[in-house]
Amino acid sequence: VRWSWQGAECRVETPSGRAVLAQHARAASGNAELGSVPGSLEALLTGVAAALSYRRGGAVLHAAGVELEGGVVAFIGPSGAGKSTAARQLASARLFAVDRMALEPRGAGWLACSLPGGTSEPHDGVRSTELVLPLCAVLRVRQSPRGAEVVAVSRGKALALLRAAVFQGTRDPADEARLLESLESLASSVPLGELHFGLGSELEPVLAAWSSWSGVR
Amino acid sequence: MTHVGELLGEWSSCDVRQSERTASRVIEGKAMVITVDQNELHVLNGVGTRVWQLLDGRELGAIVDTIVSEFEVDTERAAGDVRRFVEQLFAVGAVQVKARASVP
Repeated sequence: VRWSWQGAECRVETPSGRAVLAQHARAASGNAELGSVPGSLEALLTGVAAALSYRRGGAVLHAAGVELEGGVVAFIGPSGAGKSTAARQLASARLFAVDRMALEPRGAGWLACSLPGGTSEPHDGVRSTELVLPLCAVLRVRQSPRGAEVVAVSRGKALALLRAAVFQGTRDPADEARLLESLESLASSVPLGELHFGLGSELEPVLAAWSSWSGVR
Repeated sequence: MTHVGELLGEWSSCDVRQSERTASRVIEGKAMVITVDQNELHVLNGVGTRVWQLLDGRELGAIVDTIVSEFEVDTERAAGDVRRFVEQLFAVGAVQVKARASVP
């Protein structure tokens, strides 16, 4: 997925689709061409969401997410790290996003918007009925043979983890610099940690203990 | 050639600066450098971050002098570290390098 803004116009390119967007004062409009390959629509929606989120100071993250007490906990990490496993192991949570979500600042906090895409792995738990919710935490997941725990990370590490989770779209250094600035603002306003867990770990008590000192709602 | 110049080898006569195809941000004293064409992220240590900040086209010998004075290391060590670091930055596409016009 590639996108690039030239003034108020943006071109979004994916392997089997493209869109041209125009930003107006309070709205955006666009035209899209879409191929028939499976996954074309999800890829194009991801590109369009990434371009528009960027314009609004946000980004699209490769993340699974669950709804927990009215907010979203996002799980990030490379493919195979255990994002969807962590989402499934939180038995009391509802699945909010399987693979990706758009994040954007709103007031003092951030909002998460569920996007389609990713593997269609069956999820036997309950799905969230919401598409947009406040983002209350971001956790980099790591599977570990030891018990479950959340480990705090430095601000620099947090920024590096978030940047690694962003759906890259632009090749413009100025856009990249603004993206880093947005992610730093995200890292300073939403709690971020590393969740170490194993198969069968009970995650609820670990997250509850972490949230009590990290300021998660 | 000066002692530092010898330690830096061919780099001492090069104009080395941050590539225009990078974006970077310093947090808690460490620079995060993104090479946008490769879409790679590099997190630098404290000394590396200082060298990165100084890579504005000034001579590498001057950067070595700054590292010696700010980090209390000897010249040999600083020159070796700067040289290796610049080689690494070059290998990942984070710096642009050209020969300086020679002084007649």
